[in-house]
Amino acid sequence: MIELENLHKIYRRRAVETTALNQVRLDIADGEFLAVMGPSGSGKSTLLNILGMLDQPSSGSYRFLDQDIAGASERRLTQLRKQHLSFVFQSFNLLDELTVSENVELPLIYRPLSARERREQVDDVIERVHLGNRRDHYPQELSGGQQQRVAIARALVTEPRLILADEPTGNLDSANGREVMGLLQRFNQAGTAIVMVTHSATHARYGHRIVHLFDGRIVEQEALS
Amino acid sequence: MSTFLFKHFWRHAKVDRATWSINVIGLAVGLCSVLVVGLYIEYELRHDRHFPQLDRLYRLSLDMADHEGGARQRVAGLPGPAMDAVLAESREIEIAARVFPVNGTSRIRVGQTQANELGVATVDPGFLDLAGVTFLAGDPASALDRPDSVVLTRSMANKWFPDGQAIGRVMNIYRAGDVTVRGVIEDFPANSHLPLTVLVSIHNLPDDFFQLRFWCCNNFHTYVRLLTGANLTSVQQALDRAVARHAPEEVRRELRIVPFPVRDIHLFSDFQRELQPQGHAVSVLIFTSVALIVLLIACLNFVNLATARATQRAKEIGFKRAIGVPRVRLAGEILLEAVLASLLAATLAALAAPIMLPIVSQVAGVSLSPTLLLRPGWLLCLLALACVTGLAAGLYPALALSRLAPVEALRGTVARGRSGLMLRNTLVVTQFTISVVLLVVTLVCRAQMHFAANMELGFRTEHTVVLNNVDDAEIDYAAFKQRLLANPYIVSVTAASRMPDGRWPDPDFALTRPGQPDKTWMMSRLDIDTDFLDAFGIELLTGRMLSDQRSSDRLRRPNAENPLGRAAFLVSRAGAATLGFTTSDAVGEVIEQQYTHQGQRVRGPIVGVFEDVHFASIYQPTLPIFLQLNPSNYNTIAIRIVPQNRRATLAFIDHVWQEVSPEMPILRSFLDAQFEALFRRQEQQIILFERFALLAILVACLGLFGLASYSTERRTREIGVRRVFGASTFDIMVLLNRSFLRLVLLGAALATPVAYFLATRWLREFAFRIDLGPSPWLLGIALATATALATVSIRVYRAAAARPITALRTE
Ligand SMILES: Nc1ncnc2c1ncn2[C@@H]1O[C@H](COP(=O)(O)OP(=O)(O)OP(=O)(O)O)[C@@H](O)[C@H]1O
Ligand SMILES: [Mg+2]
Repeated sequence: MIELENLHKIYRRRAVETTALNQVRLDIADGEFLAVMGPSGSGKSTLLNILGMLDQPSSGSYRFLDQDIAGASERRLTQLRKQHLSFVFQSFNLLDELTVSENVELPLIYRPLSARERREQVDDVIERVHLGNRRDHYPQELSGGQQQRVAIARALVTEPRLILADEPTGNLDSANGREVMGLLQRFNQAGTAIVMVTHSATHARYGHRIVHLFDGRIVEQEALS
Repeated sequence: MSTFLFKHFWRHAKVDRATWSINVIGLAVGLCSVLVVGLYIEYELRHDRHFPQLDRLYRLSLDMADHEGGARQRVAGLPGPAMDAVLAESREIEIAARVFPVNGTSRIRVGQTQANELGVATVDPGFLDLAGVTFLAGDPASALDRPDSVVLTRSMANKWFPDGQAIGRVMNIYRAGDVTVRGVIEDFPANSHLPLTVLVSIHNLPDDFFQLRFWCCNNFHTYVRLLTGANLTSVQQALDRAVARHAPEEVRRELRIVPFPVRDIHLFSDFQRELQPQGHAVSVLIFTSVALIVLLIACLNFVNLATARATQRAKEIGFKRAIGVPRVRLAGEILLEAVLASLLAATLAALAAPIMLPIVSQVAGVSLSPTLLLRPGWLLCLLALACVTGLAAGLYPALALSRLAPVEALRGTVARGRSGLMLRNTLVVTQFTISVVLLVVTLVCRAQMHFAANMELGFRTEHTVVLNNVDDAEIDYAAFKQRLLANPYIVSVTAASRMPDGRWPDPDFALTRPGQPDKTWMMSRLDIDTDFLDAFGIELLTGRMLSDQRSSDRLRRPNAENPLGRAAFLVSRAGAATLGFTTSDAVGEVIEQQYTHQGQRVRGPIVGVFEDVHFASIYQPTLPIFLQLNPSNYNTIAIRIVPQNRRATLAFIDHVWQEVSPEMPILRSFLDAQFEALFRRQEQQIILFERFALLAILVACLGLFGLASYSTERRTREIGVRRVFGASTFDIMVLLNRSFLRLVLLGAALATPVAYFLATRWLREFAFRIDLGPSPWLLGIALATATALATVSIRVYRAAAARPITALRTE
C-alpha cells in the first residue's frame, strides 16, 4: 500500500537545519499493524505526518496505492486523505464545543452523505467503542481514556484503509492504555492498517512489525509473529 | 512610573501588532474625517464672522408682491431711497450703509491694461466702518468721500499696481469712469457673503441716477448696525413706517422691509439675488454626522478588539490582581493605553489631513488651506477630541477587564464567555447596520442624480450660447440678430426675458378668465421673440406661433390712462390644464393677466399650446407657463451654433457684441454647461457623502479584519483538526465566514427600514424622482456582504490553506 524510498525531511529554522528524516526506506502492506519506536526527537512524528499527508517530505519518493504523492498539490492530498486515511493523536484533539457524537460525526460532514447515513454510521462506531451512553456529553466531561476512545471512533467512522496514531496511549494510565490498544487491535483485525508511534514496548508488541528510528534513520526493523 | 507605563504600552503594541495597528489606523481615519469635515463646517459656520458686532448687524431686505401682480417674493436688495427713509424713522440704528454691486464682471482699465473684474460695488462711505475693514494704506475717515474715490482690496491693488504704490493712482472702471485709489484694505475672506474687491464711492453715482431716486429695482444691499439693546419689534415698526411714509403710493401696499441677521445669510437666507451661492444647513448637518459616524465605528472597533483580546490579556490582568494591584489602577492602565493609541491616531490624522483636505474642499466647492490646521486652538481641539475618543473607546474594556476575578482571570477561562461574544456581535451588527444605511442612501442619491441629469427636459440645451446682460447693454436687438444670422455657423438667434436655467421661481403671475373674476390661476411668465419655440425645438401642439406681423400679438402694457392692455398668449400643456382647458380646446379662449393690484390687466386670446418643458429645477413640478411677444423685455439672448468651427463662431459673437456694445463686457455661457453646473453642486455633495460612506465601511471592515484574526487564531486548532479529517480550504473559509456573514446580514436587515426612511425623506424634495425599487437595497447589501466576505477571507485564507500540520503544531 505504501512505499517510501530515500525519504528526507529537513526543517530550516533561521540558520539551523534539522534533518528530521534521513534516507528512510519503508514499505507498508495493506492491513498491516506497524509500530514505530525511537527516542524523543528521532523523527517519529515527522514520519507519521508525512505518511498522513499532513506534511510534505523535502525529497525522496512516497508512493501511496501506486501513485506518487511527493509534491502533489494540497488539494490532491486533502482528497486522498479524505478517502483513505484517518488519525488518532496523543492529545486527542477533540473539539470542546462539540458533543461526543458531533465530534465523531465531524469527518463525515465533509463527505457526500445524508444526515441519516451519518447518524447511522456514528451510532454504529460509538457502540463499537462502548460509549453509547456518553453520546451527548462534551469532551471535558469524559476521562482521558474515554476521550481517546471518542478519537478512535472519529478515526474509524470513515472506514479508512489506514489509521495513523501518534502515541495514542501517551496520555493514558495503563488500564486505559490497554483498553485503547485492545480497540486498535480489534479494528486492525477487521482489516484497517495501522501505523502507531509509541514509547511503550508493551504496546508496540500489539503490532506485526516494529520499526526503530534513531536520528531520522531507520536503524532496526523487528518482525513479530 | 510613567516610563514604566510607556514601556508597558509599547510591549503590548509589539505583541499584538495587528490589533493595535487596526485600532490606531481606524481611529486615525475617524479623527481625520472629523478634522477635515470640522474645518469645512467651521468654514461654513464662520461665514461673515469678519463683520464686527455681528450680533447687531442686519441686512434690510424686501418681502414684496411682484409689481406685475405675481406672488410674494423675498429679495436681498432694497430700492435706493429706502435707507434714508429707514434712517428718518428709526432711532435705533448706529450706522447704515448700502452696497450697490455690479452683477458679474466690470471692465477695468489702467493705462493699456484692461481686464474684467469680479466684486466691483458702489458703496456708502459708512460701509468701511460697518464692515470693519482693515486699512493697509489711505485714510479710513475720508477714503470714499469724493465721487472719484475708490478703495481696493490688497490683492486687487497688488494686481493692478504691482509696484505697491496704489494710493493716488487712477483707474478707469466701466460706468464709474476715472477714479483715484484712496485706500487699500485687507481682502475679504473667502467665506463672506459679500465678496467685494473694488469699492467705488456712492457719490460717484449721478445725483439723478434713477435707482437712487425711485423706489424701484431693489439693487441696493442695505446693512444696518443696530444700537446695543435695540428692540427688533420697534425696529420692524420703524421699517413699516418708513415704507408707509416715504414709499410712493403704488408700491406702499406691496413692500415690506424686513431685517435679516447677517450671520444667518449664508446658511439660512431664502432671499433671491444673493451675491454668493447659498450654503446648506442640511449639508453641514449631514457631513458632521457622517464624519462622527466614521469615528464612532472606529471606537466600536476598539471596544470590540479590546474585549476580544481579553483572553490574551486575562492572564496578565489576573496576575496583577493576584499580586494586589488595585482595580482602579488596572482600569487606568487600560484607559491610558486607549488614550495613547488615540493620541497616536490623532498625530497620524493631523499628518493625513492635508492630503484629505483638498479632496473635501474641492468636492464641497470651498477653499480650505492646510495651514488652517496649524492654528493652536485647532490643534488643542484635536488633542481634546483624541483624549475624549480614547476615553470613550477605552471605557468599556477598562471596566470589563478590571472587573475580572483574579482566579478566573489567571486560569484564562473568562473570555470564552457568552456575554463578551454577545457584545462583540452586537457591535459588529451596529457597524454594519450603519454601513449599509450609508451605502444604500448613497446608491439612492446616485440613482436620483443620474435620473435628474438624464431627464428629458423637453427642449434643446446643446450648442446654445446664452448672452446674459442684454438689458444692461441696451443694444439694438434686431440689428444684432441680423448681423449674427449672417454667419453660416449660427443656426438661430432668439431672445427672451429669461432663459431656462433650472432655477425658475414658482409660478408667480395671476391669470383670470373674463366672467370669472374671483378665480385666479398662478402661472410662470416668459416674454419671447417669435422664433423662441423653434430655436429650442419645443413642439407646438395646437394653434400657431406668435408673429410680429400681427400687431395684436405684440404685448401692449396697461397704464394709468388705459388700464386694459392687450396680448396674445401661448400656453404650455400644463398651463392649459391649470386654466381648466384641454390642449385642443384652449386655443381661442380669452384670458387676462392681472398686472397691478389697481386693476390694470392684459387681455388676449390663447393662440397656441406647446409641449411641457422643464425650465425649472427638478425640485419643482412642471411649471405652467404662458408666453408673450414683448421685445421691450429681452434680457437674454440664446444663439444656437453648429458644433463645427466653434471657436471662430464664438470669437465672431464676441466681436459683434463688442461693436454693438463697446463699453459693456459680454457675459456669455453655454446653456448645457449651466445645467450641468447646477447638477454638479448636488453631485459633488453626493460624491463627498459617498466617500465618507466608503470610509465608514472601510473602518468597519478593518474591525472585522481584526475580529477575523482573533477568531482565526482562537480556532487554529479546530481548523487543523477539521483539515486533518477531510475539510478542504473552502470548507474552512465557509465555516469561518458563516458566523460573520450572519452578523453582516442581520445588520443589512436592520438597515433596511432606516435606509428606506432616509431615502424617501431625501427623495421627497424632488418633484421628479426615481421609484424606489429593490435594486439599491440589493446592491448595497451585496456590496457590504462582499466587502465583509473579502475582508474575512483575506485573513482566514492563509490559515485555511496552510498544511494542516502547521495548525495542529501551534497548539
Ligand atoms: N516544525 C519544526 N521545525 C523545526 N524543527 C522541527 C519541527 N518539527 C520537528 N522538528 C525537529 O525535527 C526532529 C524530529 O522531530 P519529531 O517531532 O518528529 O520527533 P519525535 O520522534 O516525534 O519526538 P517525540 O518522541 O518527542 O514526539 C526534532 O529534532 C525536532 O526538533
Ligand atoms: Mg512526536
